[in-house]
Amino acid sequence: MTPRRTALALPLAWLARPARAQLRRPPRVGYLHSVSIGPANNATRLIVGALKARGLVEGQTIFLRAGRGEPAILARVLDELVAIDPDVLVAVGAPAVLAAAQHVRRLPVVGVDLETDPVAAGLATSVARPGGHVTGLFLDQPSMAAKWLDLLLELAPTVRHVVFIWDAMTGPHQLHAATAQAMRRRLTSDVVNPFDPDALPSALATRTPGTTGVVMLTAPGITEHLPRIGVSLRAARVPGVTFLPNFVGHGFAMGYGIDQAHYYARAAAIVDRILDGDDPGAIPIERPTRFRFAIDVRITDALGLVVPNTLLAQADEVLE
Amino acid sequence: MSGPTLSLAQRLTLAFLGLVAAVLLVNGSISMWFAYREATEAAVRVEQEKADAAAERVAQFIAELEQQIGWTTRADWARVPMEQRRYDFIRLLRQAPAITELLFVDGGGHERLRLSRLEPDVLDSGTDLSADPRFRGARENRVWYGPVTFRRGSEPYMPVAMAHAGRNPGVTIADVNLKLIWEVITAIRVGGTGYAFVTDAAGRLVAHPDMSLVLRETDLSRLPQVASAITGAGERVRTARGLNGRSVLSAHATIPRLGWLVFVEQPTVEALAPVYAAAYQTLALLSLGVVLALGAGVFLARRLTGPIRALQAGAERVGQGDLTQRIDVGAADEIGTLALRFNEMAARIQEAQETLEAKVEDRTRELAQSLDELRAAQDRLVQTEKLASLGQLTAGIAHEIKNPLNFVNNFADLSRELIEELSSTMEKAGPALDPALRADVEEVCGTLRNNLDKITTHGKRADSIVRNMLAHSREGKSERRSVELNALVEEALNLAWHGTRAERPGFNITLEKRLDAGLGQVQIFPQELTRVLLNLFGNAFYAVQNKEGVGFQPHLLVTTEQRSGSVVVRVRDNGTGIPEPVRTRIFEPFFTTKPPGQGTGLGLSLSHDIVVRQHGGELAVATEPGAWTEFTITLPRGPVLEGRAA
Ligand SMILES: Nc1ncnc2c1ncn2[C@@H]1O[C@H](COP(=O)(O)OP(=O)(O)OP(=O)(O)O)[C@@H](O)[C@H]1O
Ligand SMILES: [Mg+2]
Repeated sequence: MTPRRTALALPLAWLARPARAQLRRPPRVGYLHSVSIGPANNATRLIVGALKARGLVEGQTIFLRAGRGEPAILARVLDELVAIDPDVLVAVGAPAVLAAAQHVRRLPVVGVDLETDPVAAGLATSVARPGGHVTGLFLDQPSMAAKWLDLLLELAPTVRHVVFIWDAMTGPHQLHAATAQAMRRRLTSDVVNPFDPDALPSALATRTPGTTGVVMLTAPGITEHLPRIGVSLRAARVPGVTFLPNFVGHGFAMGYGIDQAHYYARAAAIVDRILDGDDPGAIPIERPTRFRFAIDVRITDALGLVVPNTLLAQADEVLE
Repeated sequence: MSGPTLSLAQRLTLAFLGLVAAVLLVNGSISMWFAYREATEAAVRVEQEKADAAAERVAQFIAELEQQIGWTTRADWARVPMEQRRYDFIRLLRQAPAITELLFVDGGGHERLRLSRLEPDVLDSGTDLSADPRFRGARENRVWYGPVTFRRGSEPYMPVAMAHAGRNPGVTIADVNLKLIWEVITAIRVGGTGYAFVTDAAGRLVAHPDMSLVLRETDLSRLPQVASAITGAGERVRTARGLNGRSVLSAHATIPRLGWLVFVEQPTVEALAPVYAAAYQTLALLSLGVVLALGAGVFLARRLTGPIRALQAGAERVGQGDLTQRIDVGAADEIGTLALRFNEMAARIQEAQETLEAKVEDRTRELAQSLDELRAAQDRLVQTEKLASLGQLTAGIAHEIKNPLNFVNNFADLSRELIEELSSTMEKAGPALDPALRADVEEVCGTLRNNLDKITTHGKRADSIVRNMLAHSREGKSERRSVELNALVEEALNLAWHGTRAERPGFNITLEKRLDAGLGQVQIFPQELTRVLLNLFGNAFYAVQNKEGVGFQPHLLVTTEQRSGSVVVRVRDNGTGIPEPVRTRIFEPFFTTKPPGQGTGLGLSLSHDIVVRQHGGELAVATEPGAWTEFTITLPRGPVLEGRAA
């Protein structure tokens, strides 16, 4: 802007400011996570962090609620948020997105969902033009599950049995793709609930080390449980693959998936546009463009596994 | 002249202002026109360069991709083991984040390797792709860029297929996610709020800073600038409406290998900001110039009209009669000269007026003097006539009284003689008469004698009065002759002094004479003039006698004086002086302040008659009551008055 226009714009903005302040109350944003809004939760940290950086204040203009993985709690806290009358609701995780989409018909919802196909689930008429009140970030790529399994096999070709950590609330698509691929690779498989602390250890207890591997499918709100899962993996001396590269470090050997920081920043951008008055039905659903791959060489070494060059070549991050 | 009349200063200011404003306006318009042309051309050039640079960046992005894919098209690649090929593909995916999927198709058109970021790797599927346009395109052109497609109707993808080197070559096919051009596009800065975007050959949006537009598969072929770019007609830079409807300066460049169009658009306001800036600058200079011209115009007009005003004001004041007014315009120019001439003129007028005044004053004074003289003469004439008629009246009365008085006197004398006769008769009768009777008769006769003596005495007195009265009518009867005036004066003084001494032996007075020796002979009636002098001296002696006071020294001064054509005799005493009510009447006949019986009041009346009527001279009195009295006789000299006297 040239100095001349600045000089013109400043007094105009000054005049316009009080009028706007009177007419418009400060925008309010609701944030609903399916499971957790704890400080360790990645999605919350990234998305809420980005929103706070835009000037929103927790408890005043942005209100956080978590469903604790329980549909009843989710429904209750959703009601609480709706009562606050937000201008836009950010829903993270498939259960929260679906609940929000069904609960309030007109409230704009920015969904962050790595599992659901928004068109198939009826949330949007098309990816380019959702047409309803829901838009956001949807990965919707069940085939990733097969890829995770292949990565596991590439690292540990001796694996004959795979345990899938799957949160039933995310829907069946990933598990279907995963089990189909396991069958294609002639593996036996098992499924455990990520939030059940006993499930994984008991699933691994009967298995011979060296022939067993673990694949963790997407599970919103799992961040806080990673240490526990990692302990189980290390205890059972089992290689594991997880759906996010930044989850590597607790005990998983590898992680492959979206560049979370890069992708989730888009959620805040979409919130901005809705607060600016854009129709959520006209904001295209965005899919990730960047993927990252991380290997924890400390784990593979501890397991006595030799990481092949093909994997090392893919790795964006190698923990040593 | 119609309309409101403007002052000279206003007209001068307007003229100056108009001149300067016109010059500035012409100059400003010309420079503004050139600045506009230049700035517009510059803006167009800049836009063009930006479009070229943006196209270059996008082309660079594609060229880098092509180069990276090129690693897998070496001639020996057909012979390397599958593991090595996979490894190369993995590395390629790692290097080129835009590539989402990689395929290797052998020379026979069968898929040998497929790597994807989202799918599991597929080895040796053997799928027949020999009819696939990607395979055929690469085999025909070596490098083939496919059309942009939108996955799920949203994300733009473009296949890039490259034939390998060697005989019956295989083909590497890469599926490129064009969303990653977004980073290239948003990195292109076009001024402050400008932007770049890319469409494919059909005008569909491939890259735009607003990703949503791309994800919505926006068709821009209806935008005029895009349509004309697609046909290749028209200018590369033009003004148009942007996607948001705002007026923009739009430039485009093509990427020939892809047929894509790269547009660079900048809000017209911003692109032409230098043009506007130049215009504003010119306008500012223009207004500054006009303001300066106004100031200078007003100043000059003041400088010019100030002296004229001063001149005007000066002329007005001179017109109102203030002849001392001088104008100082403080300038040596024409107006200064004019002021100088004006001052000279005013000075001359003032001078002329002052002389005129002096002359008028002189004349007025002279006139007043003449008038005074005239009045005095008139008074004198009136007085003279009055006195003359009174004198004649007196003479007439005297004439009438004279005969009866003669009778009285004569019969008184006769009666005395008769009484003498009676006495002598009685003497003769002697003793015949009773002594008592005789005594009675003697007594009566004595009384009669006394009475007759008194009648005689007072008759004589009345006779002398009558003679004096008659003197008024005696003019011309005596002779005018040349007389030594000084001698006459001395003789009269002697006579008077001795006369008074005879009456009052104790009388004493200092007599002073200042007689002009050059006086000589004067033609006069000596007898009458002696009367006059005697009377004056007598009056003076009476006045000093009546004055009382310790150490009072009676003094009389007689002066004669020779003048051209006249002689003057002054008689001055230090007696009682004459009070004002008395002074006006002293020349009237019978006016006297003496006790009854002592004075006739005819002395001065007669003297006046003699000096004025007989000699044609003047008799004046000056006095200060209680201090002195001076009578002045002025006599004309020589025969000039002969005729008048006769
Ligand atoms: N030298 C003088 N000083 C003061 N008074 C004078 C003098 N001469 C004349 N008078 C006044 O003028 C009056 C008139 O004078 P004028 O000679 O006519 O008459 P008179 O002296 O009174 O009488 P007469 O001359 O018959 O004796 C005087 O009565 C006197 O009052
Ligand atoms: Mg007298």
